[in-house]
Amino acid sequence: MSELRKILKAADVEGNLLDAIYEQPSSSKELRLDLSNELSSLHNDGTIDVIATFNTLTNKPNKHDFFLTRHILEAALPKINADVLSVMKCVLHLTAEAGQDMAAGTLFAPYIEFCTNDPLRPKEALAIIEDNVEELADMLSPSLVAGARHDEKHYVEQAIRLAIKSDSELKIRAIFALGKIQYSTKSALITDSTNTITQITDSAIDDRLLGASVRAAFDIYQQDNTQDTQVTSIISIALTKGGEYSLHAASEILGFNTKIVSRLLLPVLLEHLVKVNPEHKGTLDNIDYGLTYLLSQESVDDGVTFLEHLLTSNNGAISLDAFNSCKNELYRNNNKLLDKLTTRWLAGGKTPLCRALSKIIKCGHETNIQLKVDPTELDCKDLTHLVFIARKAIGYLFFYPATASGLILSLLSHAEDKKTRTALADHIYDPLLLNYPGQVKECFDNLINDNKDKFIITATKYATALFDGYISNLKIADKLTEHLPPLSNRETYRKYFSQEMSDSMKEAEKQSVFLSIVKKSVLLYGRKSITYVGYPNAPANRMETPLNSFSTSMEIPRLQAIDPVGLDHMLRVFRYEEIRK
Amino acid sequence: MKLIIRQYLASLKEREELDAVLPDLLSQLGLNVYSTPGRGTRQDGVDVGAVGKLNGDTEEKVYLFSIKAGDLTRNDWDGDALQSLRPSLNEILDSYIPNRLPPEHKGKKIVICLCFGGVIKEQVRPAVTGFIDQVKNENVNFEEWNGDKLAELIQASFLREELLPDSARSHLRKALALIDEPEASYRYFLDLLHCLLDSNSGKDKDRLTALRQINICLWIHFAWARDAGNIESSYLCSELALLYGWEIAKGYVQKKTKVAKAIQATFLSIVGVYQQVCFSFLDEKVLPFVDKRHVLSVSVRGSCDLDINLRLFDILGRLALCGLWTYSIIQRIPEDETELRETLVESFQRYVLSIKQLIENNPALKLPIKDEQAIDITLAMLLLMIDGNSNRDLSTWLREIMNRALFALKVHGKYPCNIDSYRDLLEHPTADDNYLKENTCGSILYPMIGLCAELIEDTALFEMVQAIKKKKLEHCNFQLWFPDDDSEEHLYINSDGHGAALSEIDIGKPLSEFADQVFGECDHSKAFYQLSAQAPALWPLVLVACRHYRLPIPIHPFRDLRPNITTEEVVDDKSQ
Repeated sequence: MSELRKILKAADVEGNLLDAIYEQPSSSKELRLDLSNELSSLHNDGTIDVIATFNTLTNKPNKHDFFLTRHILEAALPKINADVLSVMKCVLHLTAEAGQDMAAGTLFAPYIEFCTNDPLRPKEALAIIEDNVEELADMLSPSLVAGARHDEKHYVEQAIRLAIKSDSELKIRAIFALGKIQYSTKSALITDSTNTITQITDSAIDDRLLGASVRAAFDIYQQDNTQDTQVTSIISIALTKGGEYSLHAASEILGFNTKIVSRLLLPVLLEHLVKVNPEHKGTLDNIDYGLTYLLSQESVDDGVTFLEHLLTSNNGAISLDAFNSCKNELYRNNNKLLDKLTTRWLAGGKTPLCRALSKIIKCGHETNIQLKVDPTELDCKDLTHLVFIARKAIGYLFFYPATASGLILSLLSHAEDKKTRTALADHIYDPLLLNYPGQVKECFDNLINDNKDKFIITATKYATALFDGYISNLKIADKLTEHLPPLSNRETYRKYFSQEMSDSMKEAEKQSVFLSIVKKSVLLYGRKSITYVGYPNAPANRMETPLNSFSTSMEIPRLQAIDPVGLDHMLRVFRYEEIRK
Repeated sequence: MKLIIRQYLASLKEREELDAVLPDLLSQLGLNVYSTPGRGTRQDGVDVGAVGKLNGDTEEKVYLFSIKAGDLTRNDWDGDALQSLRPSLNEILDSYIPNRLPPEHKGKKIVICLCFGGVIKEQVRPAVTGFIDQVKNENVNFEEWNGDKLAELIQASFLREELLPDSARSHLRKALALIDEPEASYRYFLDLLHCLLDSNSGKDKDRLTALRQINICLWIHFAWARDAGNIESSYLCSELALLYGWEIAKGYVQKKTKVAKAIQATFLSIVGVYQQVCFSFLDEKVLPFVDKRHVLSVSVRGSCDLDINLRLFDILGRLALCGLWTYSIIQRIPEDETELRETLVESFQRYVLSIKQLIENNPALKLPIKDEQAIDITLAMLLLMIDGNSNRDLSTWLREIMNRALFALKVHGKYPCNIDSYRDLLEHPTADDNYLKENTCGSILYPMIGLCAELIEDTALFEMVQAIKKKKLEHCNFQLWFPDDDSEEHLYINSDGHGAALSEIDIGKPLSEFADQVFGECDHSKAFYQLSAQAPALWPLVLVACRHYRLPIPIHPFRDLRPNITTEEVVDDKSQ
């Protein structure tokens, strides 16, 4: 008798088999296989009851790692000989315990294997489920899928029968099963299944049922793409009538199968997914994955149009923050697409789109990326329209002054007259250069080095001259000692600022992954630390760790101190103003 | 102490400084000053003339002072300068003594005093001694009143222990030592004034001494501050000295006794120092920069926008007040003094223009952070309205304030609030409606702007005030302050609370009805017209007190500017 077998046996006798399973080393696939083989062997020879044991497993903290332990059953289940009902109950229990975790449903595949290993099991399961729908409905689909592996025709017919005639709970699972059954090549049954789904979709009003239709139809399409038209029709009907469940099903198709969605189906999905509820994070996440894929393709029109619709519908309730991957894709992409979108969105002036632009730029944190206008998106090049774009750029990209300045400078070569160019240069000087001389001047230098455009050179010289005049006046201010704030106020502010910094430091430390895994020691004196690190059977090793200082600097907009309300007001005006038609 | 006084004397300039202190000193020494410095050319070399006994003299002598600032150098003695000392002395000998000496003093022995704040430089001493030896005779003698002697006399006359207690000396020393920290220096100067007020017995002579001490202490403070290159604390102290001085002097305005006249003269001397400090502050530290964008904002070098906001409104109030003082002087100048009047009108216009430029170039002035800053805004409003040609600028400014206030209230930005503590202001505001209600519970700003709307006939501005009340400040008690019978007692030295607030002003009425209601209250609150500072045309004193002690400006001066009110009505009201 192997050591492992002895341990498991003894643990079972003592009533702590789950503890023993959890404590077994399971770092490699081989170790896990050994353990599952031993468990199934002990179960099959009647020494232990694995199913009953796992029926007591719960997903609670501070005990066994639920998923690691359950994973052993996943490996053992196909090899176990057990009563179908008890297995089904165990599978449902462990699935329910897993909650909303992405891995909740991973026991269904071993259950299908378990049923597949004995042709009588699916049949028995079907009968039990039909007798106890309330408790066991969720086991219908895997049982039908497993049965179809032995007798495709019979179980497809069973699924169709249940889809048409049974109550809604079984109907939903039966339709789902119609999609999941693996049809043999060129099987006529696939057409029957599609027709059944069509028939049910046409008459259904239950959103969950429609959602199941969407999933099943697309699963069938994945097995037989000749069904494209009918599948698209089913999905279109379901999404037209359906609600959040149907939309979520559609979002899964877009999110996880974007690559294989047909040209016929894609517009249908995009058209309906615009209606997504801004609070349904799961659906939004799926859309995000799909959008990211669409925007990474050579032809991005579908993705861009969809994104614009998403952001502008729902009264702007959906922000680009809901689509993190997509946002990062657009930022990373950082090619002509972003220039194009920037120009189009700023020129259009729609608030949700302009806000989205600022969120994309924000992905770079403190980094100012270089953008330039895409002339193909400039419908009008007169003073009003170009200055409008410049003001939108300032309104939304003010905290990225180099990006905003670069963008406005790139407008210069499209300006039709000197007056427009002067107006644009004035906007670069005030408020951009005035507030952020460091970053904007750096942007000027970079642009002049890379660019010989005479308009850009003239405008940067013009803005710099205005700024130099402004600064030369300010130099006198240093001599006016009378206007310094009272000492008590300066002291109060110093304490206040120090407290603010300390609070934000603590807040940042709370969120630090690094600090959560290391021990924190504070050195009160010195510029390096000396520690002795001990090893087993070896003398302690003396270690000297020199300390380094870290610092960062940022440019605060000048008007933030001189005229905070005016600055805020100006930026809001720039953001929300419109061109009078 | 003597060193402190010497340094002060050495830094005084001749015109209106050293020669302004000397008469007080001579009076305090027991001499009868019969000739004080006037503007323009000197009287044949004599800056100050006095008669009396000094140093145990048995007979009265005539003392003729020729004054020089700082040290006596070769150039000051007999150089090219128009006002060199030797030519002045010759003028005294050749012209003043024979021709201009008052007849009642003819026959008395004459002492010509060479008076200067510093010392005689060694290289010029032989020349001075030689000159004196050459011209002195039995009746005409010479004395050297250098900085050392003056300091000794000042100490003995004004600041000796019986007159100025140790604690007061200590306060003065601390006020001077902390000149670079205006808040602290001001605090010690305030303690000093309290000491001076408390230590006098209430006798007329003691009051005169106290007033002279205030004058000399203010002078010393200003001279030191000027040397240190930071006159901020002197500005604050001068306002305080002016107000405390008036508290002493106000009882002698109508009297004609010798002491009363001396008190009036000394108070005017304090007004002179105050004005000199103000003009010096504004001319050097504000006016040259008002037309330069953001310069004054940046000069605050504050840690945050709050510092800039607080300081700029402070500057605005000072600038407006100085303009109003100028206007009060213009009012007193006889019509025939055309040249002086023109100069002052020009100066007044400069203040008006400077206020406009200050606002234009320092946008923080387009929204106060404290409702209390309405005091400074009101001073500026009064000046611009008196000008009569600035209504459009005033309207633009006030509309901008209203626009920004409404915007800030909507977005929970830095709207005007009732918070006084600097620490709490740093955290102002939080985005919470209850916080907003709590910290905007009362306002003098909006009703004052509403009143201004009536005066400049700007209905749209008044509608903005109505709108802000209706949309965001329904809970706020719009109010205005009126002096009452207690104000005279407490206004100048801030000894207690006083006055009354016209509460829950109904801004929902039409503009003229609102103005009638508010100005109508002036008929019931006449204490303003009875304030002592109104009598001798020193009405800006009330404004100084309001600015200094952060009291709302009474609306009575505005009533006189109301377009449809007749002069007769105002006169009638005042006389009742």
